[in-house]
Amino acid sequence: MSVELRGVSAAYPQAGGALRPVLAGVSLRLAPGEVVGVLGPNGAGKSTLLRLLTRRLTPTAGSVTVDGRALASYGRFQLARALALVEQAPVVPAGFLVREVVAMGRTPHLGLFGTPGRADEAVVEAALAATDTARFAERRVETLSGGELQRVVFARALAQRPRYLLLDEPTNHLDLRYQVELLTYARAQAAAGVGVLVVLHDLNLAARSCDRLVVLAGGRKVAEGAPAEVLSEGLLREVYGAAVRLLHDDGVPVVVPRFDG
Amino acid sequence: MLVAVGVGSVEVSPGQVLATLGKAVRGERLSALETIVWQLRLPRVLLAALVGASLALAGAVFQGVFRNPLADPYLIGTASGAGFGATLAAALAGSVPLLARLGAPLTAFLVALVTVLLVAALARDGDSLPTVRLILAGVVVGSIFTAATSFLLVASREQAAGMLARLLGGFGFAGWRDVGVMLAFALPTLLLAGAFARALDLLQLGEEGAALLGLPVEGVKHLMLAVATLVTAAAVSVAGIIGFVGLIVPHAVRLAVGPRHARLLPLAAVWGAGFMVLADLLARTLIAPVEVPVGIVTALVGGPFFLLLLKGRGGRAERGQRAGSEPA
Repeated sequence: MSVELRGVSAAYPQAGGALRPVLAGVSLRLAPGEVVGVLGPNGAGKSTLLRLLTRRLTPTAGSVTVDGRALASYGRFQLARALALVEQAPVVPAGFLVREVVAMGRTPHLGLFGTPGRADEAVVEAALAATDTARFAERRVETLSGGELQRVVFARALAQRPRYLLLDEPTNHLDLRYQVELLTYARAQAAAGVGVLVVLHDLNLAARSCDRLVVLAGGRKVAEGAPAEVLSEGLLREVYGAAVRLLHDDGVPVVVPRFDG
Repeated sequence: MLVAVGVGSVEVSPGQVLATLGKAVRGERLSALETIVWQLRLPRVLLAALVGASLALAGAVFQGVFRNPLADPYLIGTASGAGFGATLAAALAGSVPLLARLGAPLTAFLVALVTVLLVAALARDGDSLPTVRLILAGVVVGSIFTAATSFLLVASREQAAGMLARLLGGFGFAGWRDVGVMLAFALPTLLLAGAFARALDLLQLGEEGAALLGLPVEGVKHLMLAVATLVTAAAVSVAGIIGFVGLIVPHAVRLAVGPRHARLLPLAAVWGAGFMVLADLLARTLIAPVEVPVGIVTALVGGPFFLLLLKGRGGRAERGQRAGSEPA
């Protein structure tokens, strides 16, 4: 049981028919119950990784399997029951209530023409409760703040009851409190047996919230391991081209940028 | 509706209308007055109701698929395309037997389908169909088809008057056959679109968002576009080009009951029927005995409403904003 990428490469078509490689031979494993953070500078291939897993892009080489089966062999709804993605900038369907948007997460279990029943409602309630969105469940989504909205989208992903949860920079544009809350919800999901893959920019947040970190640079995996092993001054200088100093807090590394070179 | 059947150059009371209905259904002989009710008034009102329901339904579906509240069979050029198709069929019926056999509704459908695809392709900007581009493309493509229709009319001299009168929009020619044709298109459309109500809701998450939940986005979109185009074409071929119904009715319904298609679609059909019956009533009574084309009535009501929408909603007119991004 796991999501596995083996030697995966990917490329985007360019004008003139040429391919621009964005991932080269990346291998990665996500097991149930763990939180894996994907780090790397802009353009490292983090988003591409998520596009591969949600089948919006097909790899040019390598294989992707989910629970032992090739990703390509999954039906649409079947895949959406296995994997849920929380997008970075989700579209807000104006006029819909929070509860209705969360209930859309039941789609993979209902198919095209199914009617939601009691069990579906219970799952929606649970998703609302788990993300602390129940108290504004009857509000229209376009009236929410960015932080509230991000939690609603997270709740919708939970309503899918996925085995694996993919989060694309879920803390962008959120203030500190919401950042911590969102990653707390993610950790709670992992504790309940869901495999969580989270793309993050904030190294300290990643060090705090992830069991394992994978660092991408230039489309290749350059490091993988526990936060304390991966985050080193040398690696960060090499990957980000920025000078940092590492402090330690309860054995968790804390990255502090240096301005004196 | 009973009242609408009664009102006209000869006034008939609702009671008399009911009595006529009873007699006609039992197959009894009808008096002159009763014949007016049964052969002229009744099909006219029913046809207006069906066309109104169809256009409102088509508008709701177009708005759902394009995620754009200003999409409407008239504004995005579908109706003009269908009008051209219907006129083409009428103009060439004599010389091209195949076209005559296909009939006006089918020719109208084929041309309208080309129009939708063309407009959508022209307006597309990445994953989205911005309002301004959609309306612009619709107006331009619509104008081209309108010009082509005018050319056909001028070129086919002796038939032109009849064809033009049909195109202008109205129910003056309504007969039971038209009612039958319209019912055959409207009812399946309502049922089919209704079955896809939840899928249409999901499309409001954007194509990527809907696909992430497993929805076969392309299939649903194309099927719904085809259905809305088909019913538009049927409406245009029996009643000409009647604008703005598909725009204002779904809008009003959405304001009243929210955006969920399970409620939106059936209510749009009902309100659309009522709106069109009223508009037709106005059209034939405003300056009686002269009949105003019903399209003029709907445009006079709908035009200002559209301007209000465009201005009042401003940035919000782009449904499905991306979180964290400011309205363009």
